[in-house]
Formats: sequence, C-alpha cells, structure tokens
Amino acid sequence: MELTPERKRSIRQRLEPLLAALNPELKFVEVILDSERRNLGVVVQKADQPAVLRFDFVRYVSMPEAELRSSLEQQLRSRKMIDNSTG
Amino acid sequence: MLRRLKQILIGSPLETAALPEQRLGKLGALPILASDNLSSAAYATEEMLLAIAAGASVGLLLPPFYSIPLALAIGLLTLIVAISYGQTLHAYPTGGGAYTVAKENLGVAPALVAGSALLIDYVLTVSVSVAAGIAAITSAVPSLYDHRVGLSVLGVVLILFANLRGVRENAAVFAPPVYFFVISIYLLIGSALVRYFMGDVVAAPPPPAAPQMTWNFALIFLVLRSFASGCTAITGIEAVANGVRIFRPPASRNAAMTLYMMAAFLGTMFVGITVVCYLYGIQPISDGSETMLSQLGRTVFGTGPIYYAIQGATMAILILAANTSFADFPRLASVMAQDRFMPRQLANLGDRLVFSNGIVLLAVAASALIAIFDAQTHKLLPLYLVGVFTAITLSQAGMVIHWKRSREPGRGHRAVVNAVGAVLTGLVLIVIATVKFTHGAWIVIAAIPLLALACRRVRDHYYVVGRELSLMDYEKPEELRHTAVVPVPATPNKMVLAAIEYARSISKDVIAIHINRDGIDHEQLQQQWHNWTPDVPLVVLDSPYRAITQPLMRFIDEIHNWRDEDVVTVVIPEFVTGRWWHHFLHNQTTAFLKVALLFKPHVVVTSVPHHLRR
Repeated sequence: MELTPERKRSIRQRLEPLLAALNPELKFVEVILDSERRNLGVVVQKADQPAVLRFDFVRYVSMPEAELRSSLEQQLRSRKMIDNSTG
Repeated sequence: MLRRLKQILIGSPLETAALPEQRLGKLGALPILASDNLSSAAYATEEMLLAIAAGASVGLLLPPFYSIPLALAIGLLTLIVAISYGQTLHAYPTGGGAYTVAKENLGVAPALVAGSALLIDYVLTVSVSVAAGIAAITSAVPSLYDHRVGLSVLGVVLILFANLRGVRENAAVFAPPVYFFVISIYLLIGSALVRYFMGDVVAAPPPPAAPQMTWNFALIFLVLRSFASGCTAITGIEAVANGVRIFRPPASRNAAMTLYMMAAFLGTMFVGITVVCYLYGIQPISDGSETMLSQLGRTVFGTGPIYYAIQGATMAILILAANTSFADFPRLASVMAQDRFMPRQLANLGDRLVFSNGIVLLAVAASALIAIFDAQTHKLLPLYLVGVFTAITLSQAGMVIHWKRSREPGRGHRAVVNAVGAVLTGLVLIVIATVKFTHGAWIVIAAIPLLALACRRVRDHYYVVGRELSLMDYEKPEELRHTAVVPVPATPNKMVLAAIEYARSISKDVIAIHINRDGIDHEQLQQQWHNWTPDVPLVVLDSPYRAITQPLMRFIDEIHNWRDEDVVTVVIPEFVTGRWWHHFLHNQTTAFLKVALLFKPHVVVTSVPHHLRR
C-alpha cells in the first residue's frame, strides 16, 4: 500500500536526523506500509546493503523519540549497520 | 528447428503402448546383447598367450601346448557361468542381473558393489571398444592418429544416436556385422582345420621341447595369470541376464536360450582359435604390430579378399562391443534408479521407449574417459575386467544363498554349480586385481566403493526428501500472506506493467524494486514510476558496485523478515523472443536472478512472460 506523499515526507523528516545521528553513511530510501496498515517498513541503505526496519504503525505514530531512537539503534545494530560504540 | 533435428536424428516419439512391439526375439537380441562377449573371441587367445610369453621373459617356461588345456578350462568356466546365469534367469524371470541377485540374497551393500562394478565396467567397455576400433583405423591411416580422441568420441556419438533411435532400429543396424563376424570366425577355424589335416598348409615347426618343468609357486602363478588373462573371453556374459526386458515373452526363456547360444558361439570360437593357432604355431607378436587373428587369417587364406573381410568383421565387432553396454548400462541404471540408488531421471523411458538419459550418461562418461586416457587402449585395458568379475562373483555367490533358501527340487546341484562358478570367478578376480593393480586396476578398485557410497547417499537423500514431504504430520497452514516484489527497470514498459498487474492479482502488498546502477536521480525515477502506477511503492536501491543480484537478494531477505509468517513472491517480468537467436541479444539478468532465488526458503518465484511478436 502506498502512503500519501505528505505522510511519507513527515516520516522521512522524523527519521532522517535520527539515522544521521546513528551513522551518517545511512541513507533513508523509502517507507512502505502493508495493506493491513499494521506493519510500517522503513527502507534504509548503507553502501550497497539495504535494510527494512520494522515498526508497528499504530505504535509508531505515538512513539516517544527516545523509544524510536532505541528501536532504530537496536535494529541497525543487529544488522551490523552501526558500530557498537555508537549511541 | 531443434524438434525437427531431433526427429531426423532420433525419430518420431513412440507411444508407450508400442513397448511390446519394441521387444526382440532371440535372433534379434543376440547381436545387441552378445557383441561384447563375442568380440572377446578376437583377442582372448592372444591375451592368454601374451601372459604365457611374459613368463618366459623372467625364465618361467610354460610350453605353448598349455594354451589348449587353459582354453578348455576357460571354455568350461564359460559353460559354468552360462548355466549359472541360466539358473538366475529361471529364478528371476523379470531380470536377474548381479545387482538384483546380490540385493535379494546378499544385502544392499554387496548389491551396490555389484551394481557399481557393472556400471563402471560398462563405461570402460565403451571406451576400450571404441578406442580399439579407432586404433585399427589409425593403424591403417596413420595420419589420423593425432585425431584419435576426436574420432573415438565421434564413434561414441554415432553409437549413442543408434541407441537413442530405439531397440528395434538398433538391432537392425547392428545385427549384420555381428553375424558376419561369427560366420567369418567359423569359416576361419573350419578352413584352418581342413587345410591342416589335408596337409595343404605347412605349419610352423613345432616349438623346441620344453625343459623338464618344475612346478613351483611362480609357475602356478603364471598359469593362474594366463588363465585370468584368457578370462577376458568371459566378459559380457552377464549382459543377457541384465537385459531380459528387451526380450519378447516368454522373456526369461528367450533370454536363457540366447545366453546358451552366445556361450556356445563364444566357447567354440575361443577354443577353436586357440587350437588352430597352436596347430599353426602362431604366437603373439611382442610389438603388437599384427594380431594373432590376422596372422591366422593370412596364413589360411593369404592376403586376399577373405582375409580383409575377416579383418573388417573383427574391427566392426570390436567397436560394436560398445553396443552391449549401451543396451545394459541404461537398464541397470534404471533398476537402481527405481530403488532410489540412482537419480530418478534414469528410470524414465525416452521418446523411443529406451532409457535415453542413461544412454546419454554412458556416452558422456565414456567420452570423458577416452579424453582422460587419450584414447590409448593399453592405458584403459588394465582398468577392465575387475568390475565385471566382481559382479559375476557376487551374482554367483548370491545364487548359492538363493538355492539354500529355496525349496525347489534340484536346488542342491544348482547351488553346487553356482558355488563352483563363484569360486572360480572369485579366483580370477583376485588374480586380475593382484596382477593388474599397479597398472591401473587400483583406480577401479577404488572407484567401485566410492560409487557404491555415492549410490547410498543418493538413496539417503531421497529418503530424507520422502520423509519431509510425507503427509504423516501434515497440518494445514493458516491463510497465506504474500508480499509481492517486482524487480523493475528504470523505465516502465508493457512487460513490467503486466507483471505489476499480475502481482496485484495475487497480493494486496506489492513493492516494485529498482537497482539503480547508473546513478539516476531518485526523484526522476519515482516521478516516472508514479505516472503509471501511483499506488505501488517503488524502492530505489543504489548499487555503488553495479551489482544487481546481491542488493536485490538482501532486500528480499529483509522483506521476508518484515512481516511475520509472510511468503515473498518475486514476480519477474520476462520477455520471450520470437526467434531463438534473439535470446542472446538480451541481458541474462533474469536467468541469474532465478537461479539465485531458487535456493531461498520462503521465496516463490513467478515469471510473467511477455511474448514478443517479432
């Protein structure tokens, strides 16, 4: 399911600074939402390695920044896309 | 075009219902199944006398007269083995090759050893026979010598196509040379005997009286070695028992009759040639410049048309010996494949109701062996015999057990016949393996258990697959949820949009993915894309190292982990060209992608073909 351009822009504006803070090499690529409107996927890329970061869409909307940052960090670390020292 | 070429080379497909029509009677099957065995009459005497002569070089003198009792002993062994196989055919009317007999009576491991030994021997038979036939041609035309490997492979290919055309056509092609060889050998022996006893031919002076022989271990070993060398005559005798299925009903009776005919032809030809060679004082020439059969033919008929006819028939039968292997290898492989010890494809009948895959496999293996051994017969010969005698010995031993378990009348004397056969062929096997070990027999001795082990692994694999696919513990899965991923190029086109529409028909979650190797601006790509499919998200991944497959594979892995219990369906847009050669003008990324995706669990690959009109 395609999100509206406005929604995409707002997600991007929220996540891009957090990603840059975790690793400046990380690029925000795209955001996708499944047809059940439950799973939000944030596609990021470091060099040629892509990752789809997973969020509960409903939780994401009201997720505090600290929790969001922690979730991003955890998911990126499990993919070895950020150093252990980061954060 | 390929279909037409195939039709010309192989012929039109035959209906399964035509299978009984493809079966042969005794006279039709004999040339196919006996050419290997009968061809050994052309060189077995020489092999035996060469072994005797080799003893002389180290001071072990065995008078030439000994060739006659040795030949008679080999003739007797031929008779025993033939009777033994006849008994096997009686006990196993649907076909009782060494593999079947060993499996039924000795267990799986001996059966696999017997089967592997025979399969290896069949490959060697093709390589040796064809290389020997081509050697005869290159002897006559030395300028062809440098092309012997290519010519040998061509010979294999010709026999391959003759076999792919089906059993009946094969018999029609190969029967005349085989019968011609048999007739010419009897003509040679008969004429030689008549002329000898009528005093027409001045025979060579009798050899000087041998000094008093002292029997010791070395001399006994020489006798055994000569006997073992002469036993090349027996090779191919197992072919009939392995090829019962090509006979018309009553198959086992027809097969047994054919077996006895073959053994009678072979025994009389071999003993006959040995006797007349002795009478005419013909000995093997150490440099191999002329065969004993050729010397005999020239002595009896002079260097005239009959001599050349005999030589031609000999060359033909040596090449056609390969044909027996083409009859039996695919059948044995099919039986082993039915037992899951060989790939299942080998059990399938092809267009012409023959086991085409086995035939092709044999041709490929024999050609590879010819190339590896440079089509040099003397390099290949030491590898020969171990396989066939392993199989014959196991078969006979298996039959002894069979009769012990049987309640049939006469089982006692039948067991004795098989036991005698097993002991004698086992003895020959030990001698061959010992004498020829360092000359190359070790390769076969090592290869047999390795192939047997591989067969075992094949069966283990099929067992594991069978268990995994079994419905014993089947639980119906919850409703499937797909995420459809469609790899797309930079610019949308009809083919891509067709794939997107198809993806939408199977899933509500469709993602288009483009691997951006050319550094095109993402905004521009997104704009182009959204003009055509505004409701399908396009993910553009940069590929700084220009790879396509690797980032795509990683993305698919990520998508698979994105949602729980999700199946990822990769919908690949693909066009099919109007002409076969147009195919080479296009990027082959799709093919590589399909291969890479094949090994990914939880990923389904679907091609959406777009057929080009021109």
